[in-house]
Amino acid sequence: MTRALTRPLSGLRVGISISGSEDSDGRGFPAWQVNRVTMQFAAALLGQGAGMVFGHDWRDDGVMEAVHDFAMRMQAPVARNKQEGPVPAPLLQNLLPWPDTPKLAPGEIKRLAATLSIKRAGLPDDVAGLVVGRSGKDVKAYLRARALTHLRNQLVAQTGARICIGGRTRGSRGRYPGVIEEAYLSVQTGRPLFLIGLLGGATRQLIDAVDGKPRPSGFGKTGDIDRIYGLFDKPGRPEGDVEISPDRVWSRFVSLGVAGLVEQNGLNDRENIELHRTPSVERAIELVLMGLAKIPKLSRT
Amino acid sequence: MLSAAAVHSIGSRAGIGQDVIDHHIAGQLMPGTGRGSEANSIEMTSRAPLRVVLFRDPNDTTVAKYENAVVRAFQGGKEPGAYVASGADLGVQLQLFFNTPPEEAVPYMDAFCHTLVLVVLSANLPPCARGPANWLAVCHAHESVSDGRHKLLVLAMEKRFGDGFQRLPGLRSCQIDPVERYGEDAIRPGMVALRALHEARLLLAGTGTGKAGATHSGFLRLFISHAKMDGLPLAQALKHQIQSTRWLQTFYDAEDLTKNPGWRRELKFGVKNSLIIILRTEVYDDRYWCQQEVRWADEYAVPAVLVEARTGLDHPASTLPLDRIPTVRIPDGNLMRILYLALREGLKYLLFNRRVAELRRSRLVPANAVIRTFSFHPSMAALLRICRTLPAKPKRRRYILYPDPVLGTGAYEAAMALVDREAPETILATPSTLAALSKRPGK
Repeated sequence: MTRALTRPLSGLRVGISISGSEDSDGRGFPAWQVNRVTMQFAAALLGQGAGMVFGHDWRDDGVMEAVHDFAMRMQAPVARNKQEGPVPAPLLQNLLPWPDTPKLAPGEIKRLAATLSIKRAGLPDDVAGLVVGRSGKDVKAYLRARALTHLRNQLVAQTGARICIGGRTRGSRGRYPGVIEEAYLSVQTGRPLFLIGLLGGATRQLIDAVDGKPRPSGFGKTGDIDRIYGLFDKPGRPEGDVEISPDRVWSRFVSLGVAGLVEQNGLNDRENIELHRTPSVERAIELVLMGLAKIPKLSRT
Repeated sequence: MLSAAAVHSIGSRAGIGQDVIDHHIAGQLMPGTGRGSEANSIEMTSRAPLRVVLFRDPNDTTVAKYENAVVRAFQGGKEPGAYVASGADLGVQLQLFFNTPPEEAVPYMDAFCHTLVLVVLSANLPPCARGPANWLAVCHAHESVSDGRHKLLVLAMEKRFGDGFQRLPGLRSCQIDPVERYGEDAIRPGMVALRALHEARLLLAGTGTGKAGATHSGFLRLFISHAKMDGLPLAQALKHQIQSTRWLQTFYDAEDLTKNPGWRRELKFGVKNSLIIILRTEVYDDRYWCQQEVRWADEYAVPAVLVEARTGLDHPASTLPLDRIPTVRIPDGNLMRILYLALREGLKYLLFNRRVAELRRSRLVPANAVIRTFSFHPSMAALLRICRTLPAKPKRRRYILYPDPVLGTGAYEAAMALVDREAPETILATPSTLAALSKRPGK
């Protein structure tokens, strides 16, 4: 009997939140090494048939081109007709936050459509009117921050698991640093979450929360976003996407603990702890794939 | 693992300060230190075979050439695409520091099967702050007792930097290599990279002390495949070049393949210690015996390097399986370029063998499994041959393993179908695929 030729993680879409942190350099990973780590994870996931969802556009550092080049090598061919089966989804999906527009020309996007899909996440319904009604630095900052949360909600909804590595702890334009918000939303929706500590940064802070360590000062804070939200939010206790509470985020991860990660990501407690601490990219990839292997096929998008 | 008294004795004789010795002893009490404790370390998790750690001043433009050469040697360069360009990146983790790494030196080194620490001493490295020097002193002490598991290679841009380094506590006995020993200024970065590859090979080959001759584990013989008399001058020139470089002559040799009637046996059973150099001249592709040698090397998955010596401006498509072989040209007569690629291919082989050993150790592959390995993406001919060597009625699980990244669409399906037909129930996989297929109880 011929064995199935599909790759082991086919049908699974994974979100990866990875970027350099304030201490990546000090950990031996300059920016171009962070790019390489991104490529290693991308190659591992795509090679096993998983799709990837990114929350940003093509950048000038060559990473997306390299990822796409690899994805083209892994993408299943399009069927000649409907009888041969459904058209396989593009392995790469890019969601762009408002007000970003794709850097690739429309012709390029169409040409790459078999492997790459680019969509704009837009704005949440409750703020769409602000775009027309107002202008100014504060309203732009507010809309951008709301757009980033809106994007991240969609990223989480469209992925079956999330991997977090590194991430800046300061300087974000959203309500929280990006890696922190993406991880938080994943946890809130019960998505499997993999926290990898080797690049330090925001992911390291989340690992410390999970481990019950003291909270670092300034955790989760981004500039004067509290003031800006206060200008536009409705009166009353903010909730949901307009709530800004680093306390709540930290507490969520403390209460989650390693046990909470174990419940969702397919790794046992020892493996999760090893994932937090391993200095080896290769071992981190191995552990993540072992966890993803256990995600039920029904959970795959 | 040495006793504390033994470490004190060695440290005192080497002029290592008391605080450094005590630090090292504390490190030895941690699991995974020293070759003797490998079997007990890290609860049977797999470890990556090799990490390279480079200390350098990132702001020194002269040193940057050395950094780039080392990065290119192990990772194919700094461009993101180098990782997925086939064969350019050896898959070795490389970390770069100017200041002290955040982890303690001993567990840092022991976290991988082997650690190669390279230090390029220049005006600002190590900086006045003692941190990196202390870390490196512990590293040096640990290297001394690691029985060849780790290596510290210190290079000095100028002799005075090396002298100053050796005056630091714990580093008096540390050997320093002035970069001027690596030839003319223009070729030094390349030669330093070659040296780094060489030291990495020795670590993976398990060579504790260098022994002369062809029988010790770090030795690599280069068999030159050529058409008629073309290859003899190259073999002789390469042999001479190797013999004239002190740190190469014990470990490498070049030989005309046709002069050794047992070359097939030597390559087949001594793949760790031998490699084919294909000297592709204008007539090479047309020679019957050259075609046989290339096809044999492909089917037996022998590491190889192709020296492109054809001078014609156009050539017809070849039927020979040469695509997977890295290629070099030597229009300037720089034979070290051949050795550079040969060391990379030899290292690639050793790296993957170690990786597979770690997979067994971590039980991603059963300890009693029948395993066949390729150190590069196998051709269909090579897969077919391997399948037909596997036992017809297996009592143990069977694996055919090759390194990541996974085969691309088309080749993947063809290879899976071939293995399924020729050796049913055999798993064709990379280490990543094994992890993705893992169904061990996780909770």
